[in-house]
Amino acid sequence: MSGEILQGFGALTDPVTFFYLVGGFLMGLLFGAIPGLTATLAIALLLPFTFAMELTNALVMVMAIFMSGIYAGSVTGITVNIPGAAGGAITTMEGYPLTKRGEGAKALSLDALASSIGGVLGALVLMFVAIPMSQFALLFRTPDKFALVFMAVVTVVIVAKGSIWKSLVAVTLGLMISTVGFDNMVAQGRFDFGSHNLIEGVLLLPAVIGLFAVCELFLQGGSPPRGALDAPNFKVRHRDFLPKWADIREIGWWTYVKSSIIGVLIGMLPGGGASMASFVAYAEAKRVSKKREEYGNGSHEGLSAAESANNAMCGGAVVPLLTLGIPGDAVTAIIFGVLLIHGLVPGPGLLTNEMATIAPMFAALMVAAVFVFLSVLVFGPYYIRLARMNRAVLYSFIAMVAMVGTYASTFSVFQMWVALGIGIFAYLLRLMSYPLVPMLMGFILGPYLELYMRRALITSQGDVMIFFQSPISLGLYAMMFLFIYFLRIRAPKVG
Amino acid sequence: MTLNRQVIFALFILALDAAYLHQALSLTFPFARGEPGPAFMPLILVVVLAIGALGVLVQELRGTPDPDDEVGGTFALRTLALIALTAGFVWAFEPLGYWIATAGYTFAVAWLFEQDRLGGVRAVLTSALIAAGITVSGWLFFAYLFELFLPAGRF
Repeated sequence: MSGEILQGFGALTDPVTFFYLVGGFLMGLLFGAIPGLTATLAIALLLPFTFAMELTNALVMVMAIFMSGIYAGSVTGITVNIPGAAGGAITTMEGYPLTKRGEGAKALSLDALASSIGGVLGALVLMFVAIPMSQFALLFRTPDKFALVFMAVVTVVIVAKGSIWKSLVAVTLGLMISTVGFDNMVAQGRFDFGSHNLIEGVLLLPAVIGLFAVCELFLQGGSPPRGALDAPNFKVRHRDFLPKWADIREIGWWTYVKSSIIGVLIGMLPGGGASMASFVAYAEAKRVSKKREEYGNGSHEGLSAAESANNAMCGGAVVPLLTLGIPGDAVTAIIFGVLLIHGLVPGPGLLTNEMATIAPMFAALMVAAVFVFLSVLVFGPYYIRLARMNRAVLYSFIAMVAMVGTYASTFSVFQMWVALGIGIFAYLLRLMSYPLVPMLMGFILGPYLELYMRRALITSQGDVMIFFQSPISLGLYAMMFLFIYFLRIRAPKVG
Repeated sequence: MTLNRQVIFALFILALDAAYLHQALSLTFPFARGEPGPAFMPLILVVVLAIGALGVLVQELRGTPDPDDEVGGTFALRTLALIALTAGFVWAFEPLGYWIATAGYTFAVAWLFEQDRLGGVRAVLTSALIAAGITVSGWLFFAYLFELFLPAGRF
């Protein structure tokens, strides 16, 4: 295994692959740092291009976008108090007060260092946990697989922010969309209204483009123009972005490590994601801190805890995707699509049979995490300008890539209409404060949930007790109830 | 108890649920042939969606919406214009071809975002430049770099 992972690092030395790594990293930085844009949107826009890419290059690029996009979500939060993505909100609480005190460069450097440490630790966990976990997953029988997917669907509902009813509606709508098209088990069309275009169901690409790119375009249509952003009140010299040893010692290595572990574990949780990872790690760091009074006023410790967890989440999120075939969030759901497009089915057999193809992805995650720290040394003084990018350029570019990309990947105007239709529906959902990630997760997990449920019931001749007989199934249901208890009933609070 | 937009949207979801149920009932009924069949999961989903939508309804009618709900977007005429433009672009994409349709679409999208910042006339010039740059870069990416097919138009 270690030999194949080393070969994965070796694959990155290929100039073309390295070009995709750097390109993806810069794309993630750009999209992550611009308020309103996210790493998810960047990867969604990349999806049409992956059809024509070699799989290794596509996976390397996606990983680089994931890592840098999550990191960059906090950059504009620190500099101008507008987080580029929701995951950067907690960092903003500590980073912006530092900027106001004239310590913006220090905040950005500590932010990048924590992101790098978290990212590297997350990638290491991915490398060492993925193979044993996928071997364990080979023991799963059909009812266990159902329990796993069911747990994922329930967890996605409970971890979504806000009303649990809205989250339930969103995930169910996604599950319903997944039932459109040909039923593989009895060779019958469903919900296709006799249209030959719908018989193959709703494709992943127009669904992702509609949910994240088209919807975002319409939402931006309703947002007022951004006013002039505050200029950073700190001198921006490259050397100021080197973190000081005294600051790192003050934060303490255990803060980085513990927050990274929290980030990895939350990343593995279906529906987890950067916001929850940074939130829980921050709450834990504050709980045990000797300097609680600094929290909310520019705490180095709080900032580092949130950012370590944020980026460690990336490695954790990939674990259930590759080993169990369960995407943990929107980004891994799109990676799921990239693998399917290239004929690979995520799940227990993937790492055993295709480790050579997947290993560069692991390596890319780790190298991108190292790049995060290097990037602040190079781009630190220029980060402020990212938040000032011209909206006309940005959104006409997004509109073009979204719609033309859908056509170029499917050769079908009908799929453009599907992307537009889903985009309008997603816009209405967002207008009403319904979360979109559960909808995507429902859409992705729906076929598996139905397949395993029906297969198990056929085997048991309709006896539902088959779902509660295996120790693995029971363990998964017990985990699900633990998640409900700790994440909904006794959810941690920052204040 | 007020009939706000959240309540209306929840009723809309229930209407969608009813339409989905109507279609699901046209499929072979579960266990009619000894196995769950194609209608089994859809019928479960109908019940779950109804529970979710009724939950939202009750929350709103009681006046106890979740304070942690994500901030929704704002509706604006510009959004309607963007929807209409995108629909027009999809409709015209194959007949007009990539170059004309994309140039027109990106110009209009850019103008919608620029006109409140620069004013009508200056926005036209800037948007034309933006549209030209994006149309050319789109072609370079899709057709030249990734060798994907783009329509030339039916002339």
